[in-house]
Amino acid sequence: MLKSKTFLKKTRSGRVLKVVREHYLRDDIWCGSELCVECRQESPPPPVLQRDACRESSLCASRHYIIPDTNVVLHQIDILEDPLINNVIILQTVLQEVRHRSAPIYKRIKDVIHNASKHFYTFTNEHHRETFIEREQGESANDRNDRAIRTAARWYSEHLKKAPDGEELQVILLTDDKGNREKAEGCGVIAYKCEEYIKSLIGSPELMDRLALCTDDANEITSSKILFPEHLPLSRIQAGIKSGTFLQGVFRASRDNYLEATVFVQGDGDDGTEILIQGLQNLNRAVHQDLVAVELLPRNLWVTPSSVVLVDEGPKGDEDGDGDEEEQKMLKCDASESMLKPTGKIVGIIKRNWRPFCGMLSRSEIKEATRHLFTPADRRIPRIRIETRQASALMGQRIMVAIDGWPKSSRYPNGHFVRSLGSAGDKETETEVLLLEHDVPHQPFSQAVLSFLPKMPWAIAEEKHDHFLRHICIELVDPPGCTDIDDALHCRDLGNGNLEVGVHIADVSHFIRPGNTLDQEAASRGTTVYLCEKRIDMVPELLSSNLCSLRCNVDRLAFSCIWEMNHNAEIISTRFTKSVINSKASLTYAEAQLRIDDTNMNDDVTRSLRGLNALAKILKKRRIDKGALTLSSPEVRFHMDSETHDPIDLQAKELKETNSLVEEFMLLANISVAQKIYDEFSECALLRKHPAPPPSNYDILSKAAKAKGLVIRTDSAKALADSLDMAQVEGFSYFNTLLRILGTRCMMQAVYFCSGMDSDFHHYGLASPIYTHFTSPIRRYADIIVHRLLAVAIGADCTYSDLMDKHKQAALCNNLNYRHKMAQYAQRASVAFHTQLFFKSRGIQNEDGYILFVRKNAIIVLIPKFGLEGTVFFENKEKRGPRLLFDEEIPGVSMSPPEMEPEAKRVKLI
Amino acid sequence: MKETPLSNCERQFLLKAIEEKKRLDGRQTYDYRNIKITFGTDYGCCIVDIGKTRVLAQVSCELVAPKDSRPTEGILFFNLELSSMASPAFESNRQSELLVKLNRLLERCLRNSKCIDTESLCVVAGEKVWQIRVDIHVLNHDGNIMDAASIAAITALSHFRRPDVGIQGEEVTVYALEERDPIPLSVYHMPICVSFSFFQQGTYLLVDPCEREERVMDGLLVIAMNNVKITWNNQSGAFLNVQKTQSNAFHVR
Repeated sequence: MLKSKTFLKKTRSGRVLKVVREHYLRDDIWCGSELCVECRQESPPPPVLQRDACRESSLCASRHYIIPDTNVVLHQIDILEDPLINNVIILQTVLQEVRHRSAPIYKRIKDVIHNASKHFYTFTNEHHRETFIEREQGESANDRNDRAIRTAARWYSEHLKKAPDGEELQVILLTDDKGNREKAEGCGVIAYKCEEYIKSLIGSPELMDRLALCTDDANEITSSKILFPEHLPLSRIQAGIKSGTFLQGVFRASRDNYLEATVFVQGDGDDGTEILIQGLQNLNRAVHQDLVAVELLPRNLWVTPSSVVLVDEGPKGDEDGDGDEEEQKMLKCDASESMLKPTGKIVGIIKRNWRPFCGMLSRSEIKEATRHLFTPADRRIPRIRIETRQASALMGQRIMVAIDGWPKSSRYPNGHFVRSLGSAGDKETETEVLLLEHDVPHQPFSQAVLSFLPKMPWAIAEEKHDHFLRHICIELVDPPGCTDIDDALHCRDLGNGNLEVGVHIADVSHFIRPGNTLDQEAASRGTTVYLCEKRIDMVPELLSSNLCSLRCNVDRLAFSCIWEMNHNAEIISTRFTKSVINSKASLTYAEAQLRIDDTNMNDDVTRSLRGLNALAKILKKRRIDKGALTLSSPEVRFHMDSETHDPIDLQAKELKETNSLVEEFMLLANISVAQKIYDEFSECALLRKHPAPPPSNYDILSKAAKAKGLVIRTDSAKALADSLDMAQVEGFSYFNTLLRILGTRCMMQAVYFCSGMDSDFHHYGLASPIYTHFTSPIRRYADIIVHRLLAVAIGADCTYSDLMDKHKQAALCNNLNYRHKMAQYAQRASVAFHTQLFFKSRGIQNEDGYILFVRKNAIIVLIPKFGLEGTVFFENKEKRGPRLLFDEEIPGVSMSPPEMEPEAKRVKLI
Repeated sequence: MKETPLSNCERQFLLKAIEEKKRLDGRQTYDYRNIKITFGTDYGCCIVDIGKTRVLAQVSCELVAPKDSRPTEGILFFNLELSSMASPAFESNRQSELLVKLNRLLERCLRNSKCIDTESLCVVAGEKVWQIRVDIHVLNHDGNIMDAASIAAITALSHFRRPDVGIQGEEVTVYALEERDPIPLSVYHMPICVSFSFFQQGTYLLVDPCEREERVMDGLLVIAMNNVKITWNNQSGAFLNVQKTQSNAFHVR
C-alpha cells in the first residue's frame, strides 16, 4: 500500500518547489516475538523477543515486553543498558527521534539493539499498515509521534493476545509524560512511569541508583535548549565599563582545566588584577585571548582556583551537560577565606580574537554524519564543531579550522575547515603546526620584501666608509654549524699598559632602511626562531647568512664598540663607530677553548683570545658579586641523523668557558650601548628590563626548599644568588639544579620597553641598572632599532620620525615582547616533539624523574636526562588510584610515603 | 554562419577509410594526437593543443556568498564558450546543444568527481567563500574539444593560486599577491577525459576523433578517469559518460 503526500514549498531563493513523498506501507512486518505464529514468514530469522520474558515485578506479575518512549530512551539509557532489562521493543518512531536529538545516545541504543543477549527488537511501526498514522490537522509533530507510539503499543498487545498462550503476555508502555500515560490507559494500553516500573522490579534494587533523576512529567521536548546566558550588546557593555559595574580584560583559559579561566584586567601602569572565572555558564562562550567584559560576583560566591586537572573529553554527551556538571562539582573545594580569589562571570565579548586553529578531527560516531568535533592542539581552546563531507579523508591528519560563531544553544562553537596540513606525526606537518600555533610568521618572504635586498654581487663602496679595521686581528667565536654570525671580538695591547677590546656587530641597519617593506616584515617577525632542525629567519637569507654574516676573510660592514681597558677590566674610554672589518679566524667555542689551553700556540689570534679570557673572568666575577643570578633550565640538545634528520641521541646542554667569554663581552657591549643611547635620547631609547619578581612568586621555591629543611632568602637578588649557592643536599647533587630550575619559573619575563614610558630600568637577573640588546641584529629586531639609535647618536646616520615617537616605540616593544615569548614557546614545543620522536623509536624506557609540583589528582614530573616535563595522573578511568590526601599548604605531600617531593620516582614513559 | 554540409562523397570516403583502418592524418585507430600544454604568465592560465584543436583555460576567483545548502563550501564554476573564432559554425552567445553537452560533461568530470577540495575555500561560513571560476575558450576546433577542455581545466586549476586570507578575531584580510605568497588549490586527483567515437553501428572505434571524423561518427563515448585509485564517491577509479550510443553494444578493447 502506498501513501503519498504532495506539497508545495518555497525555497529560500524564492523558487517554488513541488515535493512529492511516497510512503510505502506493508502488511508483512514481523512482530519479532517467539510466541507469534501469525506473522511468521518463510525462512524467518530467529525470534528476538523471548517466549518467557520474565522479570519479577510487583506491578506486573506476568510475562511482559517493554516499549519505552523517546524520553525514556534519552534519559534512562543507563537503565536500558543494564543486563537485567531485556525483551524491549524499540519503535522506529522512537529510534528516529532519538537519532535527531542525541547522536551519542543513538549510538548507545544501537549498540544495545545489536547485542543479541539483550533481546531488543526494532519494530518498523512507521511502515506497518496497521500502526502507521497520519498527522492530523493542528497536531504537533511531538503529539503525532506520541500517538504513533501508543498505536503501536496497542497493536502489539492486541496482536500478541491472538497468539496461542499469549493471553498472559503483556505489553507495557513506559513513559514519563503524564498526558501520554492517561491517553494510553484510555485506549487500553498498560502504561507506567519509568521510575514506578523500575522500583517495582523485585531483586534488583541497584537499578534504582542508576535511575536518572528527572523530575517531571512536564518534561517538554525542546530541541534547542539554551546552554549559555545571552551576551550583552556592546552599548551596554561600554556603559557598564564606564560606570564600573563591568571590567574589561583579556580572557585567558587555563591549560589544565577547561572549566576555569582568568581574566587579566589591566590596571593603571603595569599592574593588573586577575579575576577568576569558573564553570561553563560563567565562562559564557569566551575563547582564549578574547577581549571580554566581566562582572564580579558577590563576595560570598568567590572561590579558589581548583587544583584538579580536567580535560574536556567531549562527545560522550554531545549536547547535554551531564558530565560537565559532575566535573563542575569536582571544582568545588572548601578553602580558607584567605585563599579566595575575586571571581566573576563573563557578560559580553568586546572583541573576539579568533585565529585559525590547528588540531585533529574526532569523527562523529554516526557513520554518515557531516558534523564532527574538532580537537584543537592548544588545550586552552574548546572543541569546535565543523561540517565536512570528507571526514574519513581527514582522519589522522592535522587540519586547520576557523571558528565562525558560538550560538548560545550550542555546547561547542561552530567552525569550518580551512585546510589540511598533512598527516599527524609527520615531521613537516608537526613543525608547521607548532609554528602556526605559536603564531610565528613563517611564510617565505614575499616579492615586495625581497625587492629591497641589495643586488648581487655586492661590494662595499670604499669611499663612503672612513673607518677601517681590516688590519686588526679579529676573531669570531660561535657555536658549530652557525651560519648567521653576528658578532666578532678583538683585543690588542695598546702599548701604554692598557688593552683595546672591540666588539663588532654586523651592521644590519645599513641594509634594512626604516619604513620599507623589508623593515616592516622584520619588525613584524621580531625575531629569528630556532627550532631543532629548522631556522625561521627574521630577515631574508641573503642578509642573514651572507651579507650580514661576519664570515672570516671577507670584508663586512660592522658596528663596533671599542673600549680601552686596563688589566683589571676597568673601562677607561668607550667609543662607537661604523666600520669595515675583515675577520682573521672563525672558531667554534671548543676550538677557542683548545687554543687558550694549548701553551704552544702564540700567534696573534691566540694571544688576543687569552687577553679576552682573562678580562672576561674578571668581568664575570664582578657581575656575580653584584648579585647576578645563575639560574638553570632543563635544556637539551639533539644529535640529528644527517640523512633523515631524525633525532638519534640527546644530551643536556653544557657550557664551556669560552661561551661565557663571548657572553661577558656581549653583556658589556649591551650595557655600554644602553647607557649611550639613554644619555642621548632619554625619551625614546629602546631598553630591556627584568623586573624583580613579587615575593609571592618565590612560594614554590621556598616550599620546595623547606621540604628538605633549607631556607632560601629572596629579599634581594644577591641574597637569592647566595642562598641558592648554599642550598646543597648531601647525596642529592641534582637538588641544587632543581632549585635553580624552579627559580627560573619564579622569575618575571624580561621585556623591551621605551625609556620614555617607564621609570624602572633595572635588570634583576644581570644585576645591571640599565641594559639593552645590541649584539644580534640579524636575529632580533630590537637590536636593529638600537643600532639606528646609536648611529644617530654618533652622527653616522639620520633619524626618522617613528624612531623618536615613544608611543610608536612602545607599540613596537609590545610586539617584540610577544614574538619573543612565542618564539620561546615554539622552541620548547619543537624540543618536546623531537623528544617524542626520539622515544617513538626507543619504546618504553625507565628513567629517574623528579616531581616538580603536586596537584590534587596529578603530579608534574621532570626527567632531567631528557629535559622532559609531563603530567602523571594518579588515577585513570580503568583503575582507581590509592586514596590521597592533598594539602594546599605544603604542595606535594600525599600518598603512602608522606614525603616525596622532590624524591626520585620511577616513572614509566610511553 | 551555418556549417558547410559534408558531401556524400566525402562522407563515404571517410567511412571507407575507417573501415580500412586508415585515418586522414595517418594515425592508427588508437593513436592519440600530440598534446602540448603551455602556461601563460598569470596564475591559472593554460593553453592545450591536441593536434590543431586549441583550447585556453583561465581560472579566476572572487569572494561571494555561499549557497544556503552548503554554507561551508566554496563554489566551483565552469564556463566553456564556443566562439566563432574556433569554427565558423559556432555562434557566440547562443546555447547550442553541443555547448550545453560540453559544459555538463565538464562539470561531471571535474566538479562531481570532487577532485578539488571546495571546503577549504570557505572564508567565513555562511557569509564569504571563494568562487573559483574556470573560463574555457575554444580557440580552434579540430575535433575532440572535450578532452582538450578537461586537460586545460584541470591543469589550469592546478596552476592557479588564490590570494591568502588572514583571519584575526572577526576581521578578515585578503592579502595582495605581493604581500603574501598566494595559495594553490588543493587538488585531490586529476580526472582526464578520453573520447572514443563509434562508426558503422559500433563496429569501428577510434580514439581522439578529429573534426571530420566527428561529423561522420554514430556515437561518442567519453571516459574520465584519474591516475590513482582514490576512494571518492565509493567508486574505484573511473566513471563513465556514455552518450548517444547505438542500440548495438559497443566494445572497449
